[in-house]
Amino acid sequence: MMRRSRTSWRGVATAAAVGSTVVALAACGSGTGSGGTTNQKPHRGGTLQVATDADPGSLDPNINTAYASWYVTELIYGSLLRQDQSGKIVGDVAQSYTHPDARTYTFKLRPGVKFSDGRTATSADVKYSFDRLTDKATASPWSGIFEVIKSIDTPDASTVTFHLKRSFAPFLSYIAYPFYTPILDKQTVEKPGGLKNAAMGTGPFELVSYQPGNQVTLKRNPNYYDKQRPYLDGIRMRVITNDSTRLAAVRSGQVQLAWFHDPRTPKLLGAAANVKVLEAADDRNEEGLAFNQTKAPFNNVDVRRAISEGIDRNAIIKLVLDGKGNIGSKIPGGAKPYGYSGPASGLPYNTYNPADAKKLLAKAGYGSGLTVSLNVAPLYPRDLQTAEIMRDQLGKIGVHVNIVQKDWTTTLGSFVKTSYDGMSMVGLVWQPDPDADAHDLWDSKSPINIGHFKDAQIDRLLEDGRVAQTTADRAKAYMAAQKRVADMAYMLFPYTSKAEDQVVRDSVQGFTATDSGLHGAALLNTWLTGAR
Amino acid sequence: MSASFVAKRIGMLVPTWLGISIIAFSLIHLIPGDPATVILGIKATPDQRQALLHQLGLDQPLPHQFVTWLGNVLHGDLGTSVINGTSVTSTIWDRAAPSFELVVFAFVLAVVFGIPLGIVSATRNGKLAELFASSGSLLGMSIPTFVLGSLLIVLGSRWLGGIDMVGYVPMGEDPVRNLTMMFWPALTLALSVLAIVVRYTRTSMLSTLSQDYITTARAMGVPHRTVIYRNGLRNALVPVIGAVGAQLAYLVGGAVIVESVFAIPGIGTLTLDSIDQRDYPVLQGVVLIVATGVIVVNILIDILYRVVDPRMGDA
Repeated sequence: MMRRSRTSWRGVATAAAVGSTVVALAACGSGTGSGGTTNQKPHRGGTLQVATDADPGSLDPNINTAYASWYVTELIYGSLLRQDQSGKIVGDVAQSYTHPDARTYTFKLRPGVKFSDGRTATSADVKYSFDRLTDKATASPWSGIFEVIKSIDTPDASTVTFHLKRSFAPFLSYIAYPFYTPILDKQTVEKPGGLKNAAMGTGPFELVSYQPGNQVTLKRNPNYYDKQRPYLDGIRMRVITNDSTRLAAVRSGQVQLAWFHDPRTPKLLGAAANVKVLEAADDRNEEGLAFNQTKAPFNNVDVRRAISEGIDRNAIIKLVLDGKGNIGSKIPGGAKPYGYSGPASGLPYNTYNPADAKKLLAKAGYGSGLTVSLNVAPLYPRDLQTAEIMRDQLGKIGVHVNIVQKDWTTTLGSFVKTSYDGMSMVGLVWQPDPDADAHDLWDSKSPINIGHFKDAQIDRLLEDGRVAQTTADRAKAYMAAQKRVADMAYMLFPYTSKAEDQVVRDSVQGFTATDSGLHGAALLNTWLTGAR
Repeated sequence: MSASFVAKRIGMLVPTWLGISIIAFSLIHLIPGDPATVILGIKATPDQRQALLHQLGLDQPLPHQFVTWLGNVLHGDLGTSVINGTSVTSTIWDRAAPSFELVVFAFVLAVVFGIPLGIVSATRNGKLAELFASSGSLLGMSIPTFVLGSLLIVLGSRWLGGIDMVGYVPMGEDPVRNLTMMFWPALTLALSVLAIVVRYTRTSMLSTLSQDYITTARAMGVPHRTVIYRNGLRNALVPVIGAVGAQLAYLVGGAVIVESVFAIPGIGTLTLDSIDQRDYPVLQGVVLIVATGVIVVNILIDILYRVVDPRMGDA
């Protein structure tokens, strides 16, 4: 759903070039990162004790969009492709593919790829999985993306061909995540209760038990196609929602891995022994401020521009993120090469300029000031702090901000439906492709256009991003769209930030922080020195 | 105490249940937001949200939903969670065990330490022990449970490295770890109530011990211990039972906070999660069960009152 960030696409876009050549996908991109520096070789054994920050709720990957659920499903399910620890797209259930023309992709399945119960996964399973995903009755939020699929052929048990309605550049990115396009087992789906608390896939781990609110227990999938990995015998993921409790649990050694969304929390460890803090390399999250543009005053571009210039983004980054953030837009800098990250001057109206903001307000007829509300959920303290700083800053240009605090579900619901009054701000997270970042939020025909604005130029740029076949052309389109959004101040981004920090015990080896804030790829290469 | 008294109190359960259910149902649905938004997140279209609401039966008019729910409850079916599809009855049953243990553990700690401390501070009025007991209980009452809980966890992780303080292990799996892990949250929860038990016991003892019949007993040469424990304590306990009973409801409320701090998968965290996720059936089930629990405890206390003090009629 919201909250958290992502990884890079360099691998995919180049591989997506149209042609009749077979693209072989690297299978075992072995551990590229090493969490700890040790001369020991990875070895098998041990159960990793993890503290997760929220209850998964439901384990149905076709429906549940919460990261808490993804943390589990990304370990259990496989998909046609997957992302490795370095962020490269590699093969998973598929071993290779051909892309003979812009609308056709043919995948060859990996020989002997099996579900954890030992049954071989076939092209029929792949077709079944996409059929369930796109079935209206499933109500999957991802079904819209895959409406682009015209038909799926299964000429033999190990070949799947996707015929698309049109050229669709993001296609390979969208099928590389098990929580977007998991390969499902029909029998498991059709059992009573379905996939909400049961799960069976081709991924590196299998589900032993899920005790809601308490813990998820996983063990190594004995039928996983990689004979060497994962190294861990199992993973026990305990639900500890309270930040300081989670920190205490990793400090005392009750858990060996825990993650934190507020970069200030792990700092409290100070110089504690036997633990270290891992930081992602780049930003994949962003704070999104939306305006209700169906009515005054935010249907006036000058008012929106004034708000944009009245916010001192650098001051917010310094105060809220301890300087660990950047100025950017919906596609953050970590989404190379599509995202913007750089000085405020790179995006129109992003430079702090209260004098000009006042002029713009006067021009719009609000020279004597105006009062607006800003909706925010206190569940995420960073959102609230950002709102409070903005209230101070905007007060200086004569905009009196009323902060309206409502619970997360209410705030999110009204943000999506543009049913709030004035402004609304939520944290936005990693997406698998720049198309996922921008299209549904900004396209004028999208039912969830944030703020209800219409801009033909942006629509065209977003379409360019979908059909352009080279990375460079796609990047040009997305960069231009982001500049246009900043220029018209349709949506503001007070900052972009890293997904999370992870704290690990020294016994954990091979684990690295990924920009997306997801852990599946890293956990495949994780091993333990001396089992606890 | 007559059987009709008990029957009357139990008979009152039904209208109370109905009232609580209607209020809970209305309040829950007054909160804006819906579970479809929680589950599907930001990328879902209104159509997809509507499809999911339909699947979950949440697109029906509210009175219709209430009547359906009530009908099912009368058949012993509390429904299924809209988030994870499990039966509400089994979810509550699973989550009740840790909460029940926590509340009982805390209650036992509060009573076992609170009543003797109250007696000590009453009988040693003005002495050092009294000063210690009353200032200690004031401190206990003043520290919010979330502060005390967090403090214990943070200090424990620093100085008692290796001791498992957070999370939950079922009694059946490992009784020793279960009790050692549960001790800390129970202590946290007990402390605020313990303070109240101490103060009530003290006040009640002091007023009882100043009664004429106590003076008479002493004058007749009844030994000090007998005066305190037989003549004094039994009479002093009547108001204490009432106060302690009222604290039970407080313990259930306090458990919500303690469970969150100590990551215990109990009714408290279930309640918070189901409010956050708008899991209406679970929330309605929890309200119904917890309300029933509190009502039953109150009935038991009423009965206990009459056992301790038969002068209280069947009023």
